[in-house]
Amino acid sequence: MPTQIYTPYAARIEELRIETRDVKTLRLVFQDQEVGKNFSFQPGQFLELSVPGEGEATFCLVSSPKERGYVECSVKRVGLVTEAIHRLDQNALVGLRGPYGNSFPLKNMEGRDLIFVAGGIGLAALRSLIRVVLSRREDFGSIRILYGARSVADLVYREELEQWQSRKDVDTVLTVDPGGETAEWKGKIGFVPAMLEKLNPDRHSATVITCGPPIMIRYVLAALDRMGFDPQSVITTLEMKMKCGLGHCGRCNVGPLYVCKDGPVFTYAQIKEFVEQIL
Amino acid sequence: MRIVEQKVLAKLVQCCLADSEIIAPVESEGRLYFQLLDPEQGLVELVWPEVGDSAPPEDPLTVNSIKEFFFPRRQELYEQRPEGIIPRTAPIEQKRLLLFARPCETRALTILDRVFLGETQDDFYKSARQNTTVVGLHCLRPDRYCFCTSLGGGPFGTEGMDLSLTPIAGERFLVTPVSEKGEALLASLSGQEAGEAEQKALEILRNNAEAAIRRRIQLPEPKTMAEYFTSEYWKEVSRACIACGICSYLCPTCHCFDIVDEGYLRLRCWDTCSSDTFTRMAAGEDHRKQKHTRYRQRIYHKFSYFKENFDTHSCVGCGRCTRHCPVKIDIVEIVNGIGGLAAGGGKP
Repeated sequence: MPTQIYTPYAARIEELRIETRDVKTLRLVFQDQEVGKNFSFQPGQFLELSVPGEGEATFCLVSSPKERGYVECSVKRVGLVTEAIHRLDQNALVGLRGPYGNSFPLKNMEGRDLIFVAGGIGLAALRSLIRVVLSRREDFGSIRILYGARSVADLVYREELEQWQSRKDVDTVLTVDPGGETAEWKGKIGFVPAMLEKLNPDRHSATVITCGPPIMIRYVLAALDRMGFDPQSVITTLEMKMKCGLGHCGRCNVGPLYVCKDGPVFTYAQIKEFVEQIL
Repeated sequence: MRIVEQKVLAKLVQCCLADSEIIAPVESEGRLYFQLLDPEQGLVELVWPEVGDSAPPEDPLTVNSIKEFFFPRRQELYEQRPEGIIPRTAPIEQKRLLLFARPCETRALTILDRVFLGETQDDFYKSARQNTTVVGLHCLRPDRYCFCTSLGGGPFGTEGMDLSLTPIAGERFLVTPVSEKGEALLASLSGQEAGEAEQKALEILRNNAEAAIRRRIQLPEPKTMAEYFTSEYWKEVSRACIACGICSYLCPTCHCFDIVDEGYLRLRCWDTCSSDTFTRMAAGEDHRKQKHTRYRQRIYHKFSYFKENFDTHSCVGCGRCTRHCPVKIDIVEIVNGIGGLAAGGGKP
């Protein structure tokens, strides 16, 4: 028997979707059907995905828990493991272990207006939750999705963005950084935090859920502070170097928190005193 | 408590060699290291504690801690072959006898337990703990780097031991069982039951040993620790650090590790928060880019965060980090320095 807590399950890449020049979404099916059947997770949780000989890295689950038989991860090519993943073809085998971490507090969001604020690949961390929320649309107040990227070419989940835009019960605002627009671009131009301030959401009725590059999260939090949001109704999910996913390896430790097991989902109230350190 | 002659203990260890691995201090180039005894060689390599006038003025301590026998430096987890996962690490099934572990490091095991046997249990660590009988050795002459007494331990502590040994004159030991495992082991050690005289002698030895520890780590109040987090102090005190990580590697409570692939082998290896790659992410994001933030992490993890999470400090005062630091960074001086600054009204 291996030390079981680190033993991954084999999974096959059933489908590969190219999102942008450096982001791919993998649909993964467990080789062992029993494992696949029993695998369940909550939006916000993550996986350790590995390529034999290259290593293991942390990715959030981007599919909805209601989609059974497979899980999906979006992978941005930035380092050794992600480059190795990008080299894989359909049907290649990878290792999966998880799910790890806590999840979004869905119960607390019921009845609230929700504002999703995402930047770049940060939308991946919110996609699972958005899918669940949209499938239970009646349980929530108004829903707004503010999503931005450096350029038009860097927007992920294009098809889905269009679906969201076509829905009358969701207000989807897309923006790109100045200079990132194209001639055909119909969305906004400007940085996400500034856009958020322009939208001027109601601090009493809304819960904000945000994820993006650290610098974006930092400015979003600052903007929410200025608008007088209660840090309890601001939720973010953090990315941090992780290895074990179990609170043992010590890498993702910030203050008394371990991002892997106490997070990755935190309210702004929980991390307020560490923002200077981590974002 | 029983008085047991060294030769009786030696005989037991010799017998154990037949079906157990023995981990004990062995000398190499003038220093002691915890090692697995070579069963072929028997007890030849084993270094027995010395008492009396011929004994060195300070107890010689092993360079390495006993940590690596429960949480190996490099653990081969499994091979990842196209045909599937081939396990490399089996839980420890072999019985093991750990001899002459000092109170500070047996206490460290109880601290590691909180991490590895907490919410998620590490099965390798668990089996290693279950199958190892820990025979501890009290310290008669703590050295100048020891500071266990200011962290809740002591030279005669027994936390984490199954059996404790106190060496006394005439190549004998006072042997006290600490756990059921220890009781069982003691049953196979013949000797005279200790009486009041021995009890008294033990008290004196304990008092002397405790008095010999002059170093004190003065842990600042949590509030003061928090106030000094952003102090320039951390830049000053970490300037000399060369990030070699020896403090973490020799520390009996440091438990950070890396998981890496070496060809088809997946490994779990010791790591250290001093390393500049420890928190660096693939895209270059790193929330501890500066050296002083990494050094500060080590101190705050041990004395602030670990305490908050596990109700104990992640330091037992063994002094290894200071004894072996190539640039003479002294953890006690640094921690006491915060209190000093605060007391002097120093600005955080």
